[in-house]
Amino acid sequence: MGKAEISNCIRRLRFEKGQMTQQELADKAGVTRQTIIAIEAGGYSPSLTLAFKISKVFGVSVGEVFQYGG
Amino acid sequence: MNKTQKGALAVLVITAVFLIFSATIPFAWFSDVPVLRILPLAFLALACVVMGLSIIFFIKKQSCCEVGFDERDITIKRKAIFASYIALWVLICIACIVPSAILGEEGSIKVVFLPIIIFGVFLFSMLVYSIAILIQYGWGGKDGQG
Repeated sequence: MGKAEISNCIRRLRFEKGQMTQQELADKAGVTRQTIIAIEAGGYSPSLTLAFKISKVFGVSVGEVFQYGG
Repeated sequence: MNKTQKGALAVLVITAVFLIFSATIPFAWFSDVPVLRILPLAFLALACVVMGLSIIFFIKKQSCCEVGFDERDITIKRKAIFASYIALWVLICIACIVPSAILGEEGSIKVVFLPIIIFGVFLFSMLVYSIAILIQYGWGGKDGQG
């Protein structure tokens, strides 16, 4: 899978949320840890539903988590 | 490694063993050496052992709240199915062309080779499916730390 055009700051947000682990985020978003790893690394662009779920976990807007062409 | 990867890895190993088993059949068929005659049976037994071991591999429990399957897995599986579908058609075309190219238009082969060819084509297709899944997951090596 190629690098996605969508960048994100999930890693920073996880550490701001009290050192949340990838597994904790995955469980809260309802995906596997591997998917979180792939999203963080920019190897996978999540669906809109998943993007909303992730941003909901952090309590921020989707735009604060994901940036297009960044 | 998640369930999809484990499944692909198990299918890859089992298919590889079955392909070797299939390749040994002609040797056993035409050989007078007793050792070569039992070679297919040995590989068949090996395939059964691998299948048994893969079941143990699958049994490993995941925690109750851990998600086993998500949208990325669906995307990966969809692409792998597409790759195996393409491989299936390519192999069917090859299986149709090669015998007539080797034996000529008037040539003939034993009827027993037909199921072997069909079985082989499906095995190769499954092999492509497993490899496609493993490649997309990066051979399970991109597992970062949390």
